[in-house]
Amino acid sequence: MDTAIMTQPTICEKSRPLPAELLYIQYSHAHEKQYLPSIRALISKDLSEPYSIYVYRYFLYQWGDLCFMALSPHTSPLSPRLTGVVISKLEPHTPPSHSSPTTLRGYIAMLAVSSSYRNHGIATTLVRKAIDAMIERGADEVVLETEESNVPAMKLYERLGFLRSKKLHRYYLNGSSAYRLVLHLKGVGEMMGDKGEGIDGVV
Amino acid sequence: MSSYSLVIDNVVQQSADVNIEGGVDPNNPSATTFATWNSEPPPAPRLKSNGVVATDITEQFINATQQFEVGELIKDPFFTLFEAVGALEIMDPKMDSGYLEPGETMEDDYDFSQPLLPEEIIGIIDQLICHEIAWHKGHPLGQTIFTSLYIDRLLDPCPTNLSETFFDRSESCSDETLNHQVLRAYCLGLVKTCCFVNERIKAEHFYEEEDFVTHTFHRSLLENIHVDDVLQLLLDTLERLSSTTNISGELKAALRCRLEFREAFLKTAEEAETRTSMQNIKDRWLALQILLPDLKSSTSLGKPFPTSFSAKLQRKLASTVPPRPIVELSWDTAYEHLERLCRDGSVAAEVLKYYDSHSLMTFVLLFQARKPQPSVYIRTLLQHYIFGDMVILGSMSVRQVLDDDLASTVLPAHKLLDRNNDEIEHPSDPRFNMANQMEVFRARAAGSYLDILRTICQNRCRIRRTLCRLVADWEVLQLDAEELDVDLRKFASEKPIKDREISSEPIYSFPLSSWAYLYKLRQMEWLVQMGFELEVYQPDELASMYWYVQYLARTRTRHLERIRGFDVRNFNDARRRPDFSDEKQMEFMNALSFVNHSTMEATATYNLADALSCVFTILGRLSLIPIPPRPYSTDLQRYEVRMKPFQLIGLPELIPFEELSKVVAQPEGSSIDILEYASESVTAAKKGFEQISKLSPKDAYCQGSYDSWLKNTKDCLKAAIFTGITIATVRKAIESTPRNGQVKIKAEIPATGKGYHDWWVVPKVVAIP
Repeated sequence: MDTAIMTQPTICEKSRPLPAELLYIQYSHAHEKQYLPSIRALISKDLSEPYSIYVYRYFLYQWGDLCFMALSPHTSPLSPRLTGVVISKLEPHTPPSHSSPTTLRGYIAMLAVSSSYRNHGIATTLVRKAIDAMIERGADEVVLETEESNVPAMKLYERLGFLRSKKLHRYYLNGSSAYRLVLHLKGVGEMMGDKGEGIDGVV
Repeated sequence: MSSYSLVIDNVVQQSADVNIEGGVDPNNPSATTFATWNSEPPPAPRLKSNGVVATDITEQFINATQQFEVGELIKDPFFTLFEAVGALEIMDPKMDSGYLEPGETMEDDYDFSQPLLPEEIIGIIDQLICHEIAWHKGHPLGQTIFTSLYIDRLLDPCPTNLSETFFDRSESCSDETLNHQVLRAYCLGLVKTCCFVNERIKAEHFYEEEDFVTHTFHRSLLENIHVDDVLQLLLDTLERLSSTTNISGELKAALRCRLEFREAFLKTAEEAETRTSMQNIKDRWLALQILLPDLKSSTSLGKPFPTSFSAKLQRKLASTVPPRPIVELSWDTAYEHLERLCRDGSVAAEVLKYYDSHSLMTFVLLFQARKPQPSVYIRTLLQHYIFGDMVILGSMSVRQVLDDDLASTVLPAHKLLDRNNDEIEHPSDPRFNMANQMEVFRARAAGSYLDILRTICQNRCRIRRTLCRLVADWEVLQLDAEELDVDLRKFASEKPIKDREISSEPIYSFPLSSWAYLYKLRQMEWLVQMGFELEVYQPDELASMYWYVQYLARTRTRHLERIRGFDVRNFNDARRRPDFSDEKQMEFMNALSFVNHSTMEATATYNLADALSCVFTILGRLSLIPIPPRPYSTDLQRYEVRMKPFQLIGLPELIPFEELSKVVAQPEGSSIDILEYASESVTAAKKGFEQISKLSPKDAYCQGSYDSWLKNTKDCLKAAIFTGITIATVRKAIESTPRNGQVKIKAEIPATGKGYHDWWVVPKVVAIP
């Protein structure tokens, strides 16, 4: 709930071949000066309410390695243009009712591809890179929300294996509803087992 | 402690921003503004508070922040995403509530003494109607009604009586123009109506911001002014209007119907709260509804007066966010909503007439399923009617309803529900113990039972989400009730059934846990069915999800059979006893009739669900349902996501994934055999829904909502008929396709609202060339 105004900007994709010249790079703090302004510009284009710079830094400073940029050196090789970005986090999540175990939960907070570069699978590649990085860090599951009318985004995530777990009524500030999408990366038994081992390890 | 350090973090962060922004873009307004600020720092605020010694740390602070790298984040572990999202950037016009464009003023310069034409009054009133409805639909007052400069004038400063509400403060009562008085009376009536609506919604269960925004930004909605004074002003204004000769007849009529509308709406909002007379509430809503067509036909006479609305007014409200755009709701949308509000309000009042506990539940279920769903105000009124002051429907105790429900299912004419037990004071008397233990049960079960009703009063998404929790709660209730059943058995001297064919053990009835199980099963079915309505499932999940519906409904019929068995046995025993009465006979008949009706309904449900599950399985076999590649998950992992709400349910047990995929895919069955089976099931479903639709309101336990119930049943029947057509089409296509050929059909899955019933997703199969 604490991310109630997060949104997944409109993306639209079809499976056409990627332009060969695109570069995908993992974000790190050193990129801030060069890319943060264009990251903000790209994402806020599709938002009715802007995020303050804290929101970006909240993610980028703590989980820069889970954020990826698609760059097009085509325009200018020395300062490649940002054409897409995914911003995520990964944290332990304890369900409020303690009905299920604490999991290491990835969250895809923002995803945007510049309109002239859509339909090339850029968003899918970015999301896959973020999920791969989460898997490497031992994530149990990945969740996100997307606007109910954003069919292309839902298709993208569902093609990767996400399921809609619930519908959230009037979730966004603009009054539209959302779906929560969930991807389990491990079996439930394994998620519980992991925690058991952790406790044993401590003992 | 933590909040103090948070503030510091924010400040640190902000000064770091100033540095970057200044370096990156010298034209950035924030950079230039802060440059000015840097050269002329304002004096430090004087902090005066007992026990607080203020120290100026500006210099240390600036030194400290200069040690940071650009973009470095200093935060304590309690600084969450929520706080990051709540942070503001000064001088960003979308975030900074005090930011002004060059030449922009902080407040509007509006002349409240300017004369207004009757056409303009109509224009302003109709705009206010749109804003009022936008507020009803979930937008904040700040972006709707509170954008009116006239409303702001009335509420700020907060008036203590009507003489403090003149728009033109140089005026007195005697020289207010008629047009101004019409507008003022209308606005006062509007705000007072909002006050009733807001208080009602706040008092019930709803979700702030999601359903509605009750926030009044520290403005009083005329709480200090009595409703009768406002009503009187409206009547006085109507009288003054009728005696004037300065306004043409048409415009006069348009103003009159707006004042009458406001008076009627205010009275309705005031009296909708009372639960004494259902008829009075219905009459109020109907009287309001009758006035609407005149509003509609005369709205074209109005002349918009947009300068009397301003988004800037939000700056005066207690809010940290900058002004957001005024919500634009069209007249047609507002009017439609208003009409529906009247209709729904009038129907909601009908809940006050109690027939039986099952009819009550049916009423609420069907009322909430109306499309579009009744608005939050009506839904909170409904909650007030049902639960207000913990007096059910204004006249009954929770115990009465609960006992009614138990008597009409598992305990007809049973000594456990005998009120005379309450009078026994001797602890060794079994009747004393029965009364005692039943009270323990009621205390435990009442909350869970009322939660079902409360839950189905929420928005559709919340109903499904809350059912996930309720199902877990009822699982525990069932187990608790089982212990009580064992205890009560000896006090009630229950004789078990001994049937060697079923079990070598004696079989006891377990009435309370049996009752809990019945409700748990129903909620599990609703939970799965709501998933269809909310389009939560992907196309290739539909076969399994309908398989689950049939599994749950089938389990329910078997459980109902068990309940019936004990009811019949108890009936036969009771009949032989000398104290058997007509009243007891009726109770038994009623319970058997309810069990009978539920069995019919559950049977039709499992038959249709079974048929649909088979249809989707065959469409899958024919590759007519897309299956995404899903490189990151396995079928088992997705099954675990989907079935999470049922994971903790012991009975009926969750079917293991391997088993489920086998029973759904039916690998051994030929497609024609499976379709043959589906066809038989759907025929049985059709017959079932047809029979059900012929039941009387009493036998269908839908007294008070028969028409909606009949429509719902007929919609299920239509879904069954349509399923039959789909089965026949698919079968024909398969039979006319040569071996190993691709069938020449495609399947379309209707979106929610496009089929006959949202709980029954029937694929439409059409031939392709």
